[in-house]
Amino acid sequence: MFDDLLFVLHDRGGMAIVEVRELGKRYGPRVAVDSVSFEVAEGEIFGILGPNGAGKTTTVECVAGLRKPDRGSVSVLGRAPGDVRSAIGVQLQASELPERIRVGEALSLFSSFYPSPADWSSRLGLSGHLKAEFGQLSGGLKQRLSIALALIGSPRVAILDELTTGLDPQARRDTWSVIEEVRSAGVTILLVTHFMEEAERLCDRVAVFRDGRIAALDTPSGLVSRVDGATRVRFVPSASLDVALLQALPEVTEVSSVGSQLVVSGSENLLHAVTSLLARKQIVARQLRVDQVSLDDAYVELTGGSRAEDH
Amino acid sequence: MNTRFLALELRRAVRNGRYLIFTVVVPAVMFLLFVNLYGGGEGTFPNGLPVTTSLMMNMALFGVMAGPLSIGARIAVERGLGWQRQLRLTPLTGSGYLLTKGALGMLVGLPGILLVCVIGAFEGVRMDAAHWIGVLATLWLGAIPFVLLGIVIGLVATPDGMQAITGLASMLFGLLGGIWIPADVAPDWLATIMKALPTFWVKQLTQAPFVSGVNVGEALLVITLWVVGLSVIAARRYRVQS
Repeated sequence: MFDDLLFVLHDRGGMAIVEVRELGKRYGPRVAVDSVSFEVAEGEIFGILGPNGAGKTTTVECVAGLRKPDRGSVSVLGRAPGDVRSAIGVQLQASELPERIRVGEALSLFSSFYPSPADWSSRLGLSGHLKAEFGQLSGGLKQRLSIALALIGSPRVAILDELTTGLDPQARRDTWSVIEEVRSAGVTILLVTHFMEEAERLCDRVAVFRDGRIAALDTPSGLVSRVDGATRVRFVPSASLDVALLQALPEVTEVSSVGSQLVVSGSENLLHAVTSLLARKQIVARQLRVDQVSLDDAYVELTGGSRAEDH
Repeated sequence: MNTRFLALELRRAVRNGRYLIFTVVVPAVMFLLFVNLYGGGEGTFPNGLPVTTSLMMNMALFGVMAGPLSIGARIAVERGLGWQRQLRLTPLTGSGYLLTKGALGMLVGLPGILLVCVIGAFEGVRMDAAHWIGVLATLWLGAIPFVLLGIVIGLVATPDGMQAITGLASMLFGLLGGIWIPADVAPDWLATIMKALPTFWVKQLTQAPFVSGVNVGEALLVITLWVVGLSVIAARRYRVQS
């Protein structure tokens, strides 16, 4: 019966593979997750951002079936996470293997838990380290092993919690290409991260967590465009220009001048609007520069400037 | 049960030098030490058991207790690492996990018993084949409560507190269980405590074929109570932590 149900879900394509409804979880008096709702579509890389203690890890632990929510519901493939354990692959934040266990042994052990295990070791560059003990591995290799273990059961959904924290920039980039490869293999990914660059590069949509709630949920560029004055154009006009004309443009939110330089802030289409105006007035924009607000800036605004306590 | 999991756990136990020393070497060395101290040879204890035979049984029992205790307690370390959490996320069931740890504890107790008995044979312990098998089997099955005790400690203790608790348990069950001092010489109140511990009764069962007056029924009852009680606690703890 459930096979039929899965078939229906699968057939409809783009349907939510993960559904979280008004999830709530507290530890004693402390509210970890207040009320969180989101859906993840099949094949999506869904980013979860937010400061420490915002409820990110608790939320994904509920999705993984590791914690029971106090309120609300979580379903994966239309069922309770505990019932579809082999369809969910999890890489946990700060999870270590015993020191003396060898890479090959861990892979072999985990593959014995699943009916049709997938071997990611060569794609993850682990083939040359099968005899190495976990305690001897570099941070990057440890992370790759934990990804390989998360993917060994050929999961439909992979949860990766702070995958690249503590990695050097090169190892981080290598890990990103691995994640892209995993997605192209058809795996839906929930990615908890601290790095804006990572979210911008990988995620289709991002949920920004704040105080146990989702402060914003959008594509990375959608989040950026929510910030007022997201785009800023600076130039020195070749002839004098009436500032009122600029201010009249619907795309413009603010105009200021620094010496002979004009600084115009506004929405995404600002550059086009400003250059069209200048062309009509036959004014050339000298030393033209365009600045885009980054996801980093958007994040700071959305989380109420709590970036400083986030590390 | 997942045999690959068990095989890996065994390999890890053997790779751990500390395990080999404490559970295999220490009981054997203690046995040799005591045999030479007491003179061994032809002497017998008041209960009629030859000194060497009695020491052999006691030291094997010590091994039966120490090995499984230390192996079970390593669960605390694995919990601290997050390794157990990772295993919980796989389709490996809770009973599969606990049974594997239990089987591991049983296998880990075996080499110590065998080594002490082999040394015993060299030191002049004589009994017929059926009795040898009986003694070995009793000692080995007697490991069950200690295997469970180790697992419970592993599920309850923190990685830091684990060593202290294991040490304490080893003292309590060894000393009060009558491995180091016989219950006959203890004052009444102490003897009562000793007779509540599984160690005392496993020792009684091992000696049963050779001395008179062992209450086999009471022995089995006390040991069974320990086994059932510890199993329930282990299963509960494992579930609560999920």
